[in-house]
Amino acid sequence: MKNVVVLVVLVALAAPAHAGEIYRWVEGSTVVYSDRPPQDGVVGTETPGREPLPAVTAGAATIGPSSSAENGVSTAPATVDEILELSGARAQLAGLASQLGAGYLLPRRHQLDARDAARVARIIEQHFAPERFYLAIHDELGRRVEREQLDAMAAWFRSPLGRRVTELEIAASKPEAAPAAVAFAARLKTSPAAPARLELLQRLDWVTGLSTDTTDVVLVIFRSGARAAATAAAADRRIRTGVVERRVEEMRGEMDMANMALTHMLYVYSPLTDAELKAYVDFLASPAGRVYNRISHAALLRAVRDAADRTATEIMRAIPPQRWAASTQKTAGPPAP
Amino acid sequence: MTGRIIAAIVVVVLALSASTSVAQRRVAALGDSPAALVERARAAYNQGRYQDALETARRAAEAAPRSLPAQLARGGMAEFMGEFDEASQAYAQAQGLAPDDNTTRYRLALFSTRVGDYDRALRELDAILATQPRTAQLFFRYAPAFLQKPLLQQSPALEQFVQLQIDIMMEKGDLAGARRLARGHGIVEPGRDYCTEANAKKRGKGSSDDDVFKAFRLAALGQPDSADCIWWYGQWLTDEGYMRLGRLMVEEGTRVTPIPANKESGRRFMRIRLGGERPVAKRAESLFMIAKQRYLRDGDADGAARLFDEILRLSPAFARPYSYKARLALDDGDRDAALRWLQRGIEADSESWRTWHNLGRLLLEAERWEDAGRALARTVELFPDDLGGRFALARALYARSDFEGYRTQTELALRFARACCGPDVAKAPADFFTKFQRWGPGAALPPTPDPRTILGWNQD
Repeated sequence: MKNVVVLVVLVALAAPAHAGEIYRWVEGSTVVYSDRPPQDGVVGTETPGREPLPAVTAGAATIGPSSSAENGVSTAPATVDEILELSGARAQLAGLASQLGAGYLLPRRHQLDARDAARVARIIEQHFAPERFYLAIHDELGRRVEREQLDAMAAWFRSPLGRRVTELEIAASKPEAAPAAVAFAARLKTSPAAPARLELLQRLDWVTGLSTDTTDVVLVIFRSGARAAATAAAADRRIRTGVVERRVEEMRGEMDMANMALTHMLYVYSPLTDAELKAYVDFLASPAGRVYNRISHAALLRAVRDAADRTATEIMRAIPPQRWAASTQKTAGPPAP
Repeated sequence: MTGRIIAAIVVVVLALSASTSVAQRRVAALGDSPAALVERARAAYNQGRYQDALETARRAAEAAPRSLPAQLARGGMAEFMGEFDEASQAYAQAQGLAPDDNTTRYRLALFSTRVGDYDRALRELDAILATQPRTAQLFFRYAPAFLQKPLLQQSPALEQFVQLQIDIMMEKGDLAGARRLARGHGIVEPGRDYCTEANAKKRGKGSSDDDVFKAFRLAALGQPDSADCIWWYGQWLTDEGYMRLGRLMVEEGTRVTPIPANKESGRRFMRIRLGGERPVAKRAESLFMIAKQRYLRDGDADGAARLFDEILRLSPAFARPYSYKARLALDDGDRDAALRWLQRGIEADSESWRTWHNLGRLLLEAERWEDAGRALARTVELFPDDLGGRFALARALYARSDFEGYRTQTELALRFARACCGPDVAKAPADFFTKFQRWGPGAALPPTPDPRTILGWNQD
């Protein structure tokens, strides 16, 4: 389910889809994450004691019987790492972090000169590091989930159907899946989904809070960007913090995330039968499914908020308002959140 | 006959509404002279640049302290911006320069009404009338309504003169006197159903808010038994910020209505929306309406904040300004300060429904579910028809997994919404509730719209 939140967030932000490989290297004393390779001579690194985040590349996941299913389902005690691996969260966080960062403050960046724009990009990449998001969710699950709940989650995620759902979610997250998703949405206009399928997906949204949580993540990004833009505006054009908050919050009512999420879920789960989808929704509605979603969504939201706030603070420190103001005057109009 | 009165008032009426282009042409001709500054101030006013208008009028008055137009311009702009001390000084200076000038007297009458000095206002109006020929005075005072009516119709300025007298009498609480005056000058006629006309205007699409407002005022003046219309007028006045006149009308509507439930409802409105027995000084009330405009219309947060502070100094038990102070604090991103302002508002008036409502919703935003639940329970206890308060209470209960409580509050709110305002007003909570009924508790919290539903309960 984490995957669908990720997917819908990305669709909502309409960020350029390039969830390709994530590169990591050391720059001075800082570990830098980026979807672009480091320049020559920079030494790549891995986080000690943890496997490197897998790069989500085309064709890495295919729909079909999984090897685990062929080998039988494990009954060993579950770990948080395993859950995040099997749920696809681990795989998708890299793409999510990268694309959230890519969309952050995007409309304002072109107003800066090349040097400042590069500096902003670097700050964003540092803070929107997938490892941070992963650790936030990992730690929160580790701290708050009981052993029985973890095992109940594992029972689903290890099952052949659980693995298949994860594979579908990962496959749909790839850039090359976008045209198919768009075509699917277009087809829905002439051949709408069956009521039973809609009911299942609406229930899925209900039990997971998918569309609300997605809206929250998107608004966190907008809010932080808007606040930074307001701070950077010339004093006589500066919008007060609370007014920015109110304007961003007003966007919530205009977003219609429920429909966007529904359309996307129809596409993602289209290979499943109603019975298979129902089994998935039943898991999500179970105590273990609810706990998994509630904790991981909240942790993700917090991590994104922290990343956005830290990014805003650092950007404002690195590029004083006068430089933004000068750029704004060179372009046109008051800053838009 | 009344030509001089009319002339004096027309000067005032036209003074502030002179067209910008005319003003600009004059300015160009006059350069930087005090007269040009006065014209520039008027032009700024007409363009909605009120602070600029005041500052320019100040410059004019400083440049030409013995210029009557400059002093009147300064007084007018300062009064409009809620700078009452400055306005008072400017008008006093103007009157010193031209003690017998009717324009100055009329402006002083208006200003005195605004700050609650009704006797002074009436004295100024009497003085204006006394400058007219004896026959004109007698005609104006004693001619029958059928002769007065065409006179007023031909002369909007004269009608304004009478309307100001009526307003002053109502502000003083003399509703019977105001009605007598309105009848005497043919402003209302016996036997006419003003209430039905007002309701038709309210329902019709072609009428402006101002038209509807005036229609209900006529009903209150011309139809003493139209309890519902008097009540509506009082509620409308309350929303606008006219606490004193609002109270007078609601009291009258409550007195006149024969229905016990409406009497009870009227008493409750006075208690929870009009501050009960807590006094609101006229000056504070006028400043409140100006402060709201400076904040909401002009975006002048600093100017508004200063006026709200002054209002609270004048009438500390007046609850409504506390909500605006809270809102200003929120604009600065300071939620804790906003909460403190609302708590102070409740200390000032523990039965101010709207302050409880705002406090509850702010606590909800802060995800302080327990505190929000308590504040919102008090909110709907004070005003059970508060849709926004009840939806907010439902959310607080849901967040605490009190799903039965959520169900009860939502059912009550939806039932009321359907009865009062149709299904669309609560669509999002209704959809959410349907899903809750079908699938049990979900992951997201219920939506909390705060629809404007009933006149008199919407502002702040």
